Amino acid sequence: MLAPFSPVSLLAALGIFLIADLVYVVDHYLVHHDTPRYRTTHGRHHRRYNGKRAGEVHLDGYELSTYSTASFMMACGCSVLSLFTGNPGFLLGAVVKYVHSLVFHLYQHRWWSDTPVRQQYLAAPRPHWGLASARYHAFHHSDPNDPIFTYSETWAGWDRLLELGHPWLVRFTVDGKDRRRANRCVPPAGMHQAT
Amino acid sequence: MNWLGSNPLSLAAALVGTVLGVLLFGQLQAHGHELPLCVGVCAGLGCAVSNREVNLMRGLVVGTLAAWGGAAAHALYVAELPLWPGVTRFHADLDAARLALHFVSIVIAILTGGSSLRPESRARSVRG
Repeated sequence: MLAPFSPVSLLAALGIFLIADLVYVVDHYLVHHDTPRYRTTHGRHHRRYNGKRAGEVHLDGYELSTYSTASFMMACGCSVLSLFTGNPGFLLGAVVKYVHSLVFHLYQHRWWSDTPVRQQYLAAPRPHWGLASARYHAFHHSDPNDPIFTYSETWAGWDRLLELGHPWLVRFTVDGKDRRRANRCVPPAGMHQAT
Repeated sequence: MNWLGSNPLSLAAALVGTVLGVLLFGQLQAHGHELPLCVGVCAGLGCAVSNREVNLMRGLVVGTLAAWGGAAAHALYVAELPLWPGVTRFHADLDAARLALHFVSIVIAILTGGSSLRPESRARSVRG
C-alpha cells in the first residue's frame, strides 16, 4: 500500500475532494431549482441563517447529521476504492472533505449575527474564479436568485461554469420542467379558452 | 446521525454475517475452492434477516463490510498473512478473475443487505 502522504496518494485525495465539491455545487444548484424539495430540506438552512443568530450555535443537530451522513456515504465508497487500489488517498480525501465541510461551514457563516443578513445590504460579489469567501456565501443567503451564482462551497469557478451551462441545465430541473408544462397549458394571446 | 438507514441491530447482524462469511471462505479454501461470494452473501443475508424495511442505502454499508471482509478472508486464508499486513497487500494479489469475484460479492451484499426477508417488510419501504 502507498504511503498516505505520497504524491500519488495526495493526488487521489485532491481528486476526491474536487469531485465531492462539484457534486455538492451541482446538488446545491438543483435544490435551488426544485421548490418542493427546497421547502422540505435546504430551505431550513436559509431560514435559520437568514434570521438573527440570537445566541444559537452554529451547526445544529440536523446539519451535523446531514453533513455526517453524506460524508459517511462517501467514506464507504472511498474506503473500498483505497482497498482495491492500495492508494489510501481516496479515503484520505473523503475524511478531509468531511472536516473541511464542518470547518468551512463555520467560516462561511461568520457573518451570522444579530443583524439579519438581508439587513446587511451586501453588494453582489464580482464573478471570479478564485476561492469562495464568507462574504461570497453571505450574498448567496441574501440573494440566492441573483444572476451571479454563489452556490459553490470552495472554488468559485464551479459557479462560473454553472452560469455558462444554466440556460441549458435549467430545463432539466424540477422548476424548469414545471414552467415548461405550465407554458404549454397557456393558450396563445388573443385565443379564448373553450367553455 | 443517519447511518444510511442502518440501525445498531442491522449493523451488528451484517458484521456477524461478514465474520461467518470469512470463516466459510476459510473452510471452502481449505478444500481448494476460492469463493469470495460467500462473504457478500452471508453479510447481506445477516442484515436482510434483521431488517424490517427495504433500504438500498443501507446496502451500501453492507457492501463496504463485504469488501473489507473479502479482503480479510483473502489475507488470512489465501495469502496466509496476519490480518492488517494481508489486507494492505490485498490489491497486489488482485487479478481480473479475483477482482470480478469480489465485485460480484459486493453487489450481492448491496442488494441483499438493502432488502428485508421479514414478511412485514413488503408494507414498508424507506429511502435514504
